[in-house]
Amino acid sequence: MSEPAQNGFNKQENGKAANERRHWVYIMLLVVIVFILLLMTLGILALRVENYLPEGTDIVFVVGKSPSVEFGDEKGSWKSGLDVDIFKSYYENDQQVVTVLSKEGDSLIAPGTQMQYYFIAYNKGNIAVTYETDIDFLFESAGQVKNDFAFPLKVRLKTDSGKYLIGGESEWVDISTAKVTKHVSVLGASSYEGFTLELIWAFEGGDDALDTMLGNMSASGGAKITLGIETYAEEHFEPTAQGGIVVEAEDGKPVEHGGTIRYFWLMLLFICIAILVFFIAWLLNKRLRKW
Amino acid sequence: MRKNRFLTIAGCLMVLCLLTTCVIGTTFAKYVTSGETQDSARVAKWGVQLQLAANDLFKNEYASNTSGYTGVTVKSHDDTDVVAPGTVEGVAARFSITGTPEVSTHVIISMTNVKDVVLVAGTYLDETTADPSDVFTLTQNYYPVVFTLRQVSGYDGVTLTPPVVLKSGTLADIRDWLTNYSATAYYAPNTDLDAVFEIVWTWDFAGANTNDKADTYLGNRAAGIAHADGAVENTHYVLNVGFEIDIRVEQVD
Repeated sequence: MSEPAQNGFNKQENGKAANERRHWVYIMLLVVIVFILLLMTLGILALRVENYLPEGTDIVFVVGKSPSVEFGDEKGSWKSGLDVDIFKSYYENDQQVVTVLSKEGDSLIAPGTQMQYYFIAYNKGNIAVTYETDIDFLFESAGQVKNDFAFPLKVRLKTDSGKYLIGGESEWVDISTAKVTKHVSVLGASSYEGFTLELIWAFEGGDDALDTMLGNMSASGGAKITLGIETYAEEHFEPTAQGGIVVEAEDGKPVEHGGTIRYFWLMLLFICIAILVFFIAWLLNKRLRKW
Repeated sequence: MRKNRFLTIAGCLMVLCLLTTCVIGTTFAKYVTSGETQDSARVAKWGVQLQLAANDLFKNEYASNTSGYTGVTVKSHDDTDVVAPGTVEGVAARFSITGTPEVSTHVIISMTNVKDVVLVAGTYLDETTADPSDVFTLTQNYYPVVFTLRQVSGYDGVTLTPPVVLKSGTLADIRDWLTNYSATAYYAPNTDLDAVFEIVWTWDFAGANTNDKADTYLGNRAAGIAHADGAVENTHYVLNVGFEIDIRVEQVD
């Protein structure tokens, strides 16, 4: 082969090799991009799927959510259809003398009686919740509900930490006002909040005529009140929000909040990806050098 | 061919990635729960009722206090309430308490503006004789009208036969008795307060505690007959009787 022909052939061969190298660079770039996109998709899908998996299921680097909130008192969780013991069938004065006594043994209320009820909201889960505590009140006379009746009952509600949700240390709120007010708070993961609900029908409430009328109403056709406590909790947008009194775990470890990312594992994953990417790049580079 | 395949795969993954990112915020499931409880109570029964009979303590006309005669024995000439020796009211003022409250109670019965017929101790003209110089002397106040407070039925509603005499004497004596009674009349919840009391009175015509001379003197003063012994009405003698009675039942804290 003549020298010009040989040179031409070499140029052709070099051009071909250069093209081939360019192609492999493109392929390497594509592989890296595909790999990154694949990982991103998998990560997003994992976060998405995590919501439909059974509670507590971890997705390696995303802590599974285990929400669980209970409401109850010293006797246990509130059960649907079962009343709790807020009112009593008898009341004593400061000298332990019974001054109010039900003839029929059922719960009753009278001027001068004061009631107290303690209940708990316990967030056993690993995510914070926003919860609402509302008071409901009903007065019935002769079997008929009287919605607009100003019953002389006052209430206040405070937490174990001393914060008053209704009323204050020296302030009682009319039950008609308390029942229309919303009380919203935050309860952190693995935390509880205790509430003390206090009720009073003041002996010297200032309206003896009303008190007497209610007593006579009870003697003739009947007069009855129903007090309800309603609570509602929903997942807080920030799983690590704080609120209430934290319950220490038995092993002493801090709670791992649901929905949070285990950054250590994530970092480890990225390191593995980086190592893989560099390894692939090294292999391709080696191949290119052979050409 | 390989380049095209990789490009296709990369393109599909990019689209999938973008799609997933778009829907992540819209269908994020949220945990919710609720709890509720309640309790009911009856208002403690009161139902205490008080009754006080119309004040016809001193009628204008009286039936005789002797059997066999039902005519009028004493009658006021001007229809004002009068009392006179021998007049008796069988049933005078009557008041009652009923109810079984489920709370502790305090019964308070008080008497005020008490006024007894009285001739104060002293010396007065004896108008039972024709001699205008005759006098008689009272060594102590003379209360001709005797009042009796008695309980007709007990606290369980049972009629008491005969009625139990709680106090007999002047209205002031009955007032003081009621004051002492009220000081300790505290009752536990569910006590049947049903009880009926009455006040009767009598002005004896004759008997150990009567005084004809004093009765005559008072009667003449009530009739408006002039006298010359210097006695002044409402100082030396009182001709009217009267009282106000107040009954209250209160819850005890």
